[in-house]
Amino acid sequence: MVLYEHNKEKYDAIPKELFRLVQKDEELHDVEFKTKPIGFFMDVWLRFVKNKASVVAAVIIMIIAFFAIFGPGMNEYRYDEQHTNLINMPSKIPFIAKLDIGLFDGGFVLENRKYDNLNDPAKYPEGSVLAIRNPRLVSGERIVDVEVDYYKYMGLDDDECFWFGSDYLGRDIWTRLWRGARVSLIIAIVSVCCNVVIGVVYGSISGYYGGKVDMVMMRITEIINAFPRIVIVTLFIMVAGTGMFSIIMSLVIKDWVDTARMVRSQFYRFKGREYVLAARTLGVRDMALIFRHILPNSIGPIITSSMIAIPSAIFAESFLAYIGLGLQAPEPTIGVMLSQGQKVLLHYPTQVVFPAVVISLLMISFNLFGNGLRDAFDPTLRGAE
Amino acid sequence: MKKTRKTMLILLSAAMMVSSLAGCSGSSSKPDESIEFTEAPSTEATTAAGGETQGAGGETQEQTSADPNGDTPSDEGYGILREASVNKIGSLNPQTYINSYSSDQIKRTSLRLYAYFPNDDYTFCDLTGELAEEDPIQMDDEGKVWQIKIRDGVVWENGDDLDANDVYYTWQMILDPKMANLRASNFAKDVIEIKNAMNYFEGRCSWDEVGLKLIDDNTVEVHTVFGHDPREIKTHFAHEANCIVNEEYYEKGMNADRTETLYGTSTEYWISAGPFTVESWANDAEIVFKKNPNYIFKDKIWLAGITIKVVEDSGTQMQLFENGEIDYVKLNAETFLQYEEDPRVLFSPANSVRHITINTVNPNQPILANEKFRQALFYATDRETIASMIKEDPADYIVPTTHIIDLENGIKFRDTEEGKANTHDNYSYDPEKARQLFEEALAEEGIDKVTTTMLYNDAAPQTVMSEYLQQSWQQVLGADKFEMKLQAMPSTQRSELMRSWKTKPDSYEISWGGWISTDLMPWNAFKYWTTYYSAKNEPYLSEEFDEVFDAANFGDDRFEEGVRLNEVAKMEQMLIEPAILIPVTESLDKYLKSDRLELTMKNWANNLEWGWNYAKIKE
Repeated sequence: MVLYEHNKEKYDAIPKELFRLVQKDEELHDVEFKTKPIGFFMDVWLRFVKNKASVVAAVIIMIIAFFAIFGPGMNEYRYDEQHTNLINMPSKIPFIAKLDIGLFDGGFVLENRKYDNLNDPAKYPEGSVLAIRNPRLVSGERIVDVEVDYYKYMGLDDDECFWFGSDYLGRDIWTRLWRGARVSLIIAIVSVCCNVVIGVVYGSISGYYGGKVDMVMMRITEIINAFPRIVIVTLFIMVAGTGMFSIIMSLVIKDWVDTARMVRSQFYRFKGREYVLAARTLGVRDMALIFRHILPNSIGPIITSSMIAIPSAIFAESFLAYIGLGLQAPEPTIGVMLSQGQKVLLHYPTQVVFPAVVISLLMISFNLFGNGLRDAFDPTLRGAE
Repeated sequence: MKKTRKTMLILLSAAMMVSSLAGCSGSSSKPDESIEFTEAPSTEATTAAGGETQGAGGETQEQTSADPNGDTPSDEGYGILREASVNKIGSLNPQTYINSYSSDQIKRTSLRLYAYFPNDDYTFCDLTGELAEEDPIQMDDEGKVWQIKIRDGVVWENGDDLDANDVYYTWQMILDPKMANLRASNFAKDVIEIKNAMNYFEGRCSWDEVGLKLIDDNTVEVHTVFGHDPREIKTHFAHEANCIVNEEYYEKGMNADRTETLYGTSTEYWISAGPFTVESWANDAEIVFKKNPNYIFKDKIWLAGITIKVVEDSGTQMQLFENGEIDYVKLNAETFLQYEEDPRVLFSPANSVRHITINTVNPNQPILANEKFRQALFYATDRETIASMIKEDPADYIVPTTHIIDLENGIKFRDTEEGKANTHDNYSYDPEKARQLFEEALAEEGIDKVTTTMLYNDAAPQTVMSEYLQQSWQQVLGADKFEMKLQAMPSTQRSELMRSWKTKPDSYEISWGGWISTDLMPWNAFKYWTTYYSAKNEPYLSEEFDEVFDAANFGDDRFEEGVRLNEVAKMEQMLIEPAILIPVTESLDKYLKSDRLELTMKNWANNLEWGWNYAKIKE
């Protein structure tokens, strides 16, 4: 207008015929997308698959899950089947043993043996002695360390074997390990699901209503969080006895607090947005606002934190089992196997190595997978810890 | 550079994995006579000494002539014996200690009236006076009044005199009703029953009525309920619960109500008088003993001191031994497999039998009171398999093989006809009989299935035995009719729970037990099952059993030939036949000792074992 006011005479002098209406005869259109539309989850997927470490982690998780489901059925042993004459057998996998690479071949070193007994076929069956090491005199006695094929030493046929060895009751470690992994995963997943359900409902209500409701609810979480886990577990075991229920409950009773806090913060972030105000103005009820309009925005962080919570739950379960508060015998868990294996670490290292490898892989994989998901759901958090 | 480091890391990890998984490859090998055997560095001292070695029960132990200890022990001693223990010393107070490990340390630092020492040729134990000058003197015809003379010139660590007044004070304190000492009942009635001692402890009479008198500074007198011989008096006062306490330190730690004392809980409240004194003591970590130059029998002690580290993990103990940081180590079942042919292994028969104990008064499990059910478990127990797994000896009896019934002739109870009659073929493992008894028990109780719970220590060998029995009992008795759940818990918690059966009858159902007992008096070992024993694990209350026990221990005809033998056999039978408890294995400790430690004992001996306190250090 200022421009017109300053040049009024000049503009008024322009003849009206020179003016015409633009777009009078043509219809305007948006430019058509050349690519297919991408939804939220497809977008997440595309970002996720770009993260190689997370993809590898996901594959490892799937492999472990596969063995956890099918592994215990892959050989003829049951998880609680005892072979009291075949205790602490070394690992032997026939096709690897045939490769003669010194791995998984049932070899074992018997230390401090009398050299004079080596020719006794009752003690050392034909072909069982592989090598003799470290000859020495101890108190005048000829003593050696003897490398033996332990399966021949115990008088077993070539086709009899424990893939990952056997434990102190002659139970197959392969079967027990995968059954243990299954139990650990079940405990972890069930407890995390329970945490998510409780945490989401609690956090949503707290975050949405805010004010006094929020203040009271958050103080309650702080009180719950202040209890040491070990005390809660002990109390649960005293009341409900040992078992999966007690362990799951002890993991649930504290861990939902973190989920609740995270969801509450998401609600504080979204509840003041315009679309929420608009929905409220239109008369949408609180529950619909919470679960239909605000909560879906939190789905990314919830999934991510759940994935990261799974290894924590596995570790917590293993820790409890390790200190003797886990599932009762003969049910195996990785923690129980680690605890038992650690006691004979110096003599039968495989009894601790296999469970340690599986739990380490599970922990690392779930963490990497969780990080990958977090980056995929919210690229702005990439690199954050 | 970064890539190289990554590759190195991967290679290193792989190498570690492989080394832990690696067995051995290659073809079989035959012993080759061309192999040269050289003296192992750690054994040089042993072979240089040119002696022999010995296992349990009769072989010979290494002797040495050349050592830095000299011909007789010096006042300071020579060399430090280094030990590791999984246990912690809760208290050195002899009147309140709770485990045998503590009692061992109490014996190292305290004096008793009588004690076990190596005999002259170091092959057996002698029960002689330690604080007492001589054998007790019989003052009446019935053997109910005895005087004990105290040695002159005995002093505490600080130089104060230790005389009959200290002994009398100790007796007053152990029986003090206000103190309610755990070991009071041991003192009041064990091998002998002191007149009115229990009555005084329970507040039913005054101290003047108790059969314990102070005659003078060097004489005390004991009045007993039954007549005894000197050996019984000596054995009673040789119990570690009867070690002498120091009045000054005992009172220093006493609370205002005179119900509790801190005596023996730290160096501040402790003074020694025994073979060793406490130099330093960090509970839960380390205790250091030093030879007591004022000890009466200092000429029997070669060591300059003993250090005991608390190392709870047996694997770490083994590493300490292999690194030469401790002088002997107890081998567990797994470690023993690696050393079973090693000539350095010492066997030490423990004087107890591991048994399964059953709570017959549990109101939630009435079938536990059913004799046939208990017998079914007795016959369903495959003791040989269990023993082979935990490297002990199977036992279907209660009196251990080390227990001597006839001390003069050295006859062990298990070697007698009466003792053999209580053992059975196959160590009483009879699945058919077990099934039959179980069916009968179910029919008597009118139930189809039994579900019970076994409590066990969360450590080997109870873990192994419990898990094995869980499955084997189910297999023998039928998984559809018998189910046993397992509940692991720490040892102390389990013991407390078991002993609470008096106030809480449902405290446990089935668990484990094992009593260490006087191996030179097997008749006394049955006290744990008498009705009046205060710390009973099993709710077994039988007046008939008490009568036999009293007859064996206090009866007028007990010294007659064969009487005690028959009574011991009868007591064993009374516990085994109704399966009040189910014996499983006889403990057998195995030790590996370093060559810097020379044992003066020539063999394992009752009450002394391998005589670690009397050993020498060679360096």
